[in-house]
Amino acid sequence: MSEVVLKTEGLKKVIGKRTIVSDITLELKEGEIFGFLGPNGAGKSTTIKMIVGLSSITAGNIFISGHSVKGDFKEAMKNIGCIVENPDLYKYMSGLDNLRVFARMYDNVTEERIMEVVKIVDLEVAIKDKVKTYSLGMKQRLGVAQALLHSPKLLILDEPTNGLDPAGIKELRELLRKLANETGLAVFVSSHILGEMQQMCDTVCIINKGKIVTVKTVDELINMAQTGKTTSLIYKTDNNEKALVILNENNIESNILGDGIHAEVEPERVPEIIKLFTNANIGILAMDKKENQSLEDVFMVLTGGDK
Amino acid sequence: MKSFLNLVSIENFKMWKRLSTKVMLIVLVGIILLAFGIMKYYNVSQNISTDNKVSATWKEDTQKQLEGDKLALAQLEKDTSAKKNEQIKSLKKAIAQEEYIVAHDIKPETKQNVWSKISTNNFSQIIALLLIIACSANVAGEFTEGTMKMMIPRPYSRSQILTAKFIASLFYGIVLLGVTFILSFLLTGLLSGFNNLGAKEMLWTGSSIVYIPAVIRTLIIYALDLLQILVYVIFAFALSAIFRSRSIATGFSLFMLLAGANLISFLSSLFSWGKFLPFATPTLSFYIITDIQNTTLGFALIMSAIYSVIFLIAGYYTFNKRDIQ
Repeated sequence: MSEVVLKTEGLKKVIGKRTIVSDITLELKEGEIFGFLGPNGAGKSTTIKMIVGLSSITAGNIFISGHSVKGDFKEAMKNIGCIVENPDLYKYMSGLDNLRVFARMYDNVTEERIMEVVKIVDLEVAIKDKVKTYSLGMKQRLGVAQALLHSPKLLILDEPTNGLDPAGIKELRELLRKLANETGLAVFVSSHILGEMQQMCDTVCIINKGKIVTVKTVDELINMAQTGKTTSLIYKTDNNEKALVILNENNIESNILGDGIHAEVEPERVPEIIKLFTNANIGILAMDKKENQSLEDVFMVLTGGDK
Repeated sequence: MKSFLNLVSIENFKMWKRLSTKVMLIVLVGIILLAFGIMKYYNVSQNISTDNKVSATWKEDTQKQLEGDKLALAQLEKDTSAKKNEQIKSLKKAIAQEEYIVAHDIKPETKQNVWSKISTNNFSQIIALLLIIACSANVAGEFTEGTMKMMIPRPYSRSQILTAKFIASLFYGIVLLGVTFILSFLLTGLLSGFNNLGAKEMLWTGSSIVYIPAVIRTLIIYALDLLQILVYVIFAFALSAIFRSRSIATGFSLFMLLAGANLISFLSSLFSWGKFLPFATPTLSFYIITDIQNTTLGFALIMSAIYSVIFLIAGYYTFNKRDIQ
């Protein structure tokens, strides 16, 4: 039985007469990477701010490892590490001094632990430089380092891939996966980019206009994307024109686009197509599933973005 | 408690890491050195002697002066026209001092003692100015730089975080005042000699004269200056917590320090209830140094305390309640 690290119950935030979020009920277990996905202004940051105590809670409650954020704030915060919005750190201090400042806010964070975290986020070279000289990617990594110092059970990252290059995103993804697997850290990541979530997370929660639309595992979402009986496939062959003619003769809806032939196929007909191509002496160079795009479609439908 | 002290030391660490904190200390030292240098140069170049001439007949002279003052007071008290109030108070103080000198046979000093020289050099306005800047940076600066949202999700309550910042700011104020005191003492001693370290002086309490060591009188003046500075710092602190903008907090507080207080003081003299306005009472140490005021030191202290508490409540309330953007 893995422990429930984060639990929210009917979370609601009202500012003035406007309801920003309502009925946010979530559960996050140790070792789980949880994606919090929604368009800009959906209420992601507001929810995160309530979890970490930056915003007051209008109704509902939040428990972190069983400690209520409302009733037992200090104990709850001992188990959280977070970056909210931008990783704003003290620019006039070195990265190491920043970490020392935050380390002293907890019991038992030693100098060795600080250096260990610096090594984890790979900032050893620049750690003694002033933060104002850092690139956004380095600030993100320093932000992750300060969040990990006290070995929290829950790590909250608000749009962590902002400002990271593709290599940085990949590194972050691998780091989070490693921490989740090895230390049982639960990670709560918000984003508005679906592709990122799909590669990073176990579970994805889609939120729109302040309400949860759906909570699904990544696999379930991918299955949802494959609506109907057909799969979108992309073929690359050594003779695309001839291949297209063959597909059309066999009543398979297809057309040629820049990256190859796009075809809507029932899965059981895939071997048949390969046979047809082989018999016609067409070499198949590559065959891809067009799932990314279809996931975007699911997202758009769920969040009403297509209207 | 241990963890709270830890928080104070974190705030102190952050404050001293800021370049402006060190620069302001250096600026203060520079201003003090410059002020003493100019004073010494002026005295030397104009051939001004800082010694008092004490005549052989000082006791008789004081006696005569006392009788003259008593006559003048009697005249004034018959007069019913307005504006005589301050003159009466001032005369009463002079008479009390002269009576004390005659009764206790106190011979005036030929050389002014070190302590009273220190107390006449007033740097508290500059210290208040520097401290307002530092305090606004400690509190509102963290909002402006966005680091406040890194401070809040920690195992401390918001009140603890704000209090730690306040204590760190106060600590800086004590450093500034301490540096001023020590530097003034050393410079006065070096430039005109460490005279009469054990001298005693008369202190007018508003109704009578007490005769105390000059060092105590000077320390009382410094303590009153510290309290005065504290009122302005609390004002800057509350504005920082409420408006969360470094420029608003610094700007408003400096305006109040440099112009606002004088303006309110002037306005308050027009109405009988004016003395109850914030910042309406004169600078606290003036009650000891200069002439007689319309209100008592006790009244000024109570008014300052009341307004400080109001500022603090407003600051803490908003800091605890409002969401951090």
